[in-house]
Amino acid sequence: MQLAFDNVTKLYGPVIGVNDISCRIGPGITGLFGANGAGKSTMMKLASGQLRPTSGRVTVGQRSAWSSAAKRTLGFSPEINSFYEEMTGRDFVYAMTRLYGYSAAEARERTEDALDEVGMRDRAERHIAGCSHGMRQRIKLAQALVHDPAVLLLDEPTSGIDPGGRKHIGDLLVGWASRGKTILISSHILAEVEHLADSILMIARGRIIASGTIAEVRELIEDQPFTVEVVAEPPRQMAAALVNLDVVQSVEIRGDVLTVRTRNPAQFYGQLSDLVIDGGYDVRRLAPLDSGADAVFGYLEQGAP
Amino acid sequence: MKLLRACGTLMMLSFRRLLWSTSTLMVAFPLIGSGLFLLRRRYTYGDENSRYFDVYSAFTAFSEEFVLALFVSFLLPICALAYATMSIGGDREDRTLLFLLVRPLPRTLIVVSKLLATLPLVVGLVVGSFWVYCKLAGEVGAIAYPIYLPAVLYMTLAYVSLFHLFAVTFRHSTIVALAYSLFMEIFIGNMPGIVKRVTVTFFGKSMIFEMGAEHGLPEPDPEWFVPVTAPGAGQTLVAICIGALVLTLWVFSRREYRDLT
Amino acid sequence: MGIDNAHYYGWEGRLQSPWRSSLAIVRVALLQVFRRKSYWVVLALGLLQFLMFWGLIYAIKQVNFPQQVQDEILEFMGFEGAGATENGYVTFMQQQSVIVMILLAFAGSLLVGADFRMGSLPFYLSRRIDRRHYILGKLLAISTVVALMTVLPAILLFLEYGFLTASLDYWVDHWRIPVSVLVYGAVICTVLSILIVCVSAYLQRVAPIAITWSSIFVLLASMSRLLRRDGGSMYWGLVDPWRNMRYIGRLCFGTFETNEELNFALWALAIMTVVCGVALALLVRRVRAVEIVE
Repeated sequence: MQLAFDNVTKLYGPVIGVNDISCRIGPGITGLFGANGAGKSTMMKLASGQLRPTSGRVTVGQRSAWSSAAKRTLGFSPEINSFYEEMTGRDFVYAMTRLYGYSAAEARERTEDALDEVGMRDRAERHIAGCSHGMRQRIKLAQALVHDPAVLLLDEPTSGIDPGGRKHIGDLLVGWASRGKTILISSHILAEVEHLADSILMIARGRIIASGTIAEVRELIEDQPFTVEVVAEPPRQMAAALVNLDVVQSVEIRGDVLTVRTRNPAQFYGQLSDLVIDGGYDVRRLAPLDSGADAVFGYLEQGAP
Repeated sequence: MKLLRACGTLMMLSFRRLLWSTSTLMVAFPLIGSGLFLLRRRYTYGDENSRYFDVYSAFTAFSEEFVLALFVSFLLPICALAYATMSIGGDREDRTLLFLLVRPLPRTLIVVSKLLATLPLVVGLVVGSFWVYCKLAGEVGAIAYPIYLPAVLYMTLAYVSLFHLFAVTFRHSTIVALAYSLFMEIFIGNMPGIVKRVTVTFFGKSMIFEMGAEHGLPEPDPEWFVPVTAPGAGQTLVAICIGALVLTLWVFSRREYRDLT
Repeated sequence: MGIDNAHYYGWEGRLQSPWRSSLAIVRVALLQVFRRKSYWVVLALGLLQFLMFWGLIYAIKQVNFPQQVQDEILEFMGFEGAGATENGYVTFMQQQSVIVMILLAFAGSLLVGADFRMGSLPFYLSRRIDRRHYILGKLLAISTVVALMTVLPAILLFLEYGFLTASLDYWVDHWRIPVSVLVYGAVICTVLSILIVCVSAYLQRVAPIAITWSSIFVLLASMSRLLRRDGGSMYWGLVDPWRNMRYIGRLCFGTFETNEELNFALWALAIMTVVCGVALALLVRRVRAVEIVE
């Protein structure tokens, strides 16, 4: 099932939340990145049916996200940490499950399954008021996926969770995505999510500035410098050879490490292969330094209108 | 069927949370205080310790001092405020309303479920406490309970509906409800002329004056208070209740609550 | 990265007394209150009374009403006889009680209740201040809110009355009026701020605060009035906190006609002192109960 934004604009009085956004999300994991105030939360609220677009249309499958029918296929884990604090984690998830109209027995079963999936089954008897931040995150996740939604919206799902927990949740999401679910993750921890996400949406100043896989997005910015670290022997000779390549902007030597800047990575990699074979250099390491989502986002945001 | 079950769950959830809230504890103090007031200011008549000669004067004093001045003007709106503004307002304040809005329950049903969770609490508290007070008041209370009960019920329904409307409309709904019930109702309700007809208290008092008249409750000074007939007042209170409910449903089904996340 | 490289540097100036931090708490608290629309709505309701008094004083001084009408208006406003006494202004402050009560229920939950509910207290107490400074700051903030609704308008009415007389002698002859307004205002501000900060620290949410607060200031006042009716003891008046505060204010000027009234005022002082003392002790205990990681 797809989550679709068609020419969506959301105004908060004179302030623009999102501006003429169009995209199709899912199936699979999509990462939503943007700086604070870029419009990520507005997109999440529009997708979860908390806000209605000022113009345009947000749909889940064929239904408007605002409608209650769409919410049956939607699971939402918000960023906020507000709960019914006096309840236990198990009671909270159970109550939320019953709100989908399940019978008591089915709701109980689904609650246990969801708690099990997020690794909270043994700790769910604790009152939420006494739960750690990480436990609260898992409870939020459990209530979002308890009804087996086709579309899962997760706002900062791994914030406050320890590394082991993050890996666990990452594996869980990948498993869900492999079953054809649509998952939209809004996160600031780009390095982690870019490994999970099949595609990314980058948003700045209320507009989507890039979408696709990290590699696809990287191709969009060929005019931006691209940095590659090369560890090779002999370093000085190789640096001299690299400088002579048309696509190389600069080479920096520090010990046996060369930091190469280029504007055309695809061409650079082609020419580098020839150079290494012709010169007989011993290349021990070759790693792009800034092809990650952070760098891509940084470049794109600078160029955003 | 699924929708009904979901509404039932929400109703029970809201009912339990309201019942075990601090509001229940705090509303108990004025209710107990009023009971103590009744024990001190006895409305008995005829014997040497009594302040009143006959049942009429005792009934009039009970109606004017307790029913009109304390119960209808203060205790009833406070009981309604304690729960009606908190049923949705509490979820807004705690930002847990978000968890309800992302469920597949139509917004109108969320309001109806919340209202149905609030009503038994408020009606139970108001009618129950009124029954206890009438018992404490003795013979005049036994006369007052059946004749004033409709007015009390209608007023309760009107206040609960109005405060639900405040809760879905205003962020600080409890303060708005407090200002409304203690300032607007009293300030406008005591102004000369027909302006007081915009208040709930006016119609409740009109019913009480008419119902109490046959037991000796004097008619109010026409320069300050010209009551409407009891059936008219009752109908108006029901109309206020329905009007407020329709408005609540309309506002809540369209409203975007941006302060939740 | 070493801390030097991050361009951190120590404060080399001289830090002022932590008591001055209370003023910062007051400033922040008042900004919090003034930012809310609800405050301005309640303030507007409070202004209705002020404008009514203002208009009536203007009418009395500028329009030649028959003496009887003038006397009736003055009596209605609480001014005794043809000349203004301090009672008129104090009556105005007394009649602001409901609005002040509503405003304080709002301010208490916003300024104090929210600190406990949202866990903001560590932001204050992790500075160079302790609970005394925090409590003082909150008390001063609440007092300012109360004063803006009671003392300031009463002083403005006094100034208006003086402006509208033929000479400035009114201000000189009635110098006791502003002083009594200030003293009564100080009593109101002290008592109300201690009580609301204490109630808000324990109840935290608006609804229970509003129920408790209105029960104390509206229900008790009504009960007290009813119990004093038909020959009831004057001492039932002691359950009405507003009445007690008024008598404490009068105590400062000795304007009592009978010994019974003076006795009543002394009782009122004793009761309010005990109540405020208990509230303050509970408040100190509550603020101390917050766990701060050292």
